[in-house]
Amino acid sequence: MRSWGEIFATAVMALGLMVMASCGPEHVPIEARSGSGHKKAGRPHPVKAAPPPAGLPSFPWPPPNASASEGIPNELLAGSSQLQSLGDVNTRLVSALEKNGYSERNYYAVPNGFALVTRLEQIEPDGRPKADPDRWSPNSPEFRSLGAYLRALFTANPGYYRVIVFIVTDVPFAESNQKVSEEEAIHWLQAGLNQLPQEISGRAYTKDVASTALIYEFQKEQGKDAQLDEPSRLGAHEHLTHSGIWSALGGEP
Amino acid sequence: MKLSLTLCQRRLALVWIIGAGVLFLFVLIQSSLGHYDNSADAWNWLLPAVLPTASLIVTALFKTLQPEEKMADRFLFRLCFSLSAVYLLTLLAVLLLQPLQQSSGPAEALKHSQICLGPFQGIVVSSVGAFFGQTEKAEPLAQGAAG
Repeated sequence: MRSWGEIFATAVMALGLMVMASCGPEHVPIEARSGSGHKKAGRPHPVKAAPPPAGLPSFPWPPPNASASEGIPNELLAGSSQLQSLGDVNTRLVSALEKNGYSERNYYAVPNGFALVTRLEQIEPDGRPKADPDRWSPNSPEFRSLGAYLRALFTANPGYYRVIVFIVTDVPFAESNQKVSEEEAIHWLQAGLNQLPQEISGRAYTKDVASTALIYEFQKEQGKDAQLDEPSRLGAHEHLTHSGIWSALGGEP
Repeated sequence: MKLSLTLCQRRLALVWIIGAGVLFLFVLIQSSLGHYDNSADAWNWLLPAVLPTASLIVTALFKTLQPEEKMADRFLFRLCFSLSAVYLLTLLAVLLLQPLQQSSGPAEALKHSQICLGPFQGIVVSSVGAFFGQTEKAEPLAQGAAG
């Protein structure tokens, strides 16, 4: 026969085990609850996302549905040099953009990285930028030749517009179903910062960092609002090639 | 001053057939190349603007194939001819100016033009009708001036 002390000790141990068992499932690693909060299908290991620096607006996350997208290989971005930080990636992208006339750009925060947004530009049907000043005008181009006038007179002759967004992050993402309007795309250039903050540019570059070009292409017919081309008439690679960015990064067309 | 009615009618018919033909061809090419979202909008604009007057002229042309020679007032003929030419040129201008109207689509531009073209067409149809009504028997002295 057991003593009252043994019975009490057994009861306390049993109670302790029950409490531990009931608390167990809620002890999820902190990494799994942090991050961007969006769904990432097939993500094997959760990535802890650092909060964005103060003052840097956040890009819509996950990014709105783009007309086309392409990952830029890390080897292409690195070129002959070694990428040490996200700032190095930014320098390479900015250099390629400036070589092709994209002097206006803005930065946004994305989980564990940044988004680089170019200004809305008007493009030819094959993806080449229109000549200045039509390139940066959101309005339809003036007729600078008889051929252009005749095209507008007899054909539908829609205008094509493009915004390129480079997402540099080690957080995998899928585009959302949100459909961006031309006004929102124009607003992207007004709301972001003109420089990449040191807090982000100083972050170490790892092999997990991926740079993705999202192409938002709009088509505008006479007398109508511009509509997002979804999917784009051209592939993302054609957009990057015909804009000159791909070759400026050292890629072959 | 009087002119040969047959001659006047043939000149008017020529203006309308050429004018309507050019406009028809224009809209046909635009429709074929997808200029309009709905090409019926363009035809709904062109046909009522041209066909009533063109039909009237062609009918009158066949009626005056009879051997009896009639005379027409020169002023009325000139007025009718000028109004017809300006009207047809206005229709052509509406089509040619479409690309410059960025605020509205091609079909909407045609619809807007009907506001001012309607009264203009009324005047043209009236003048054509009046011209064909102002006919009288040939006068021997005036026949030499015709042509």
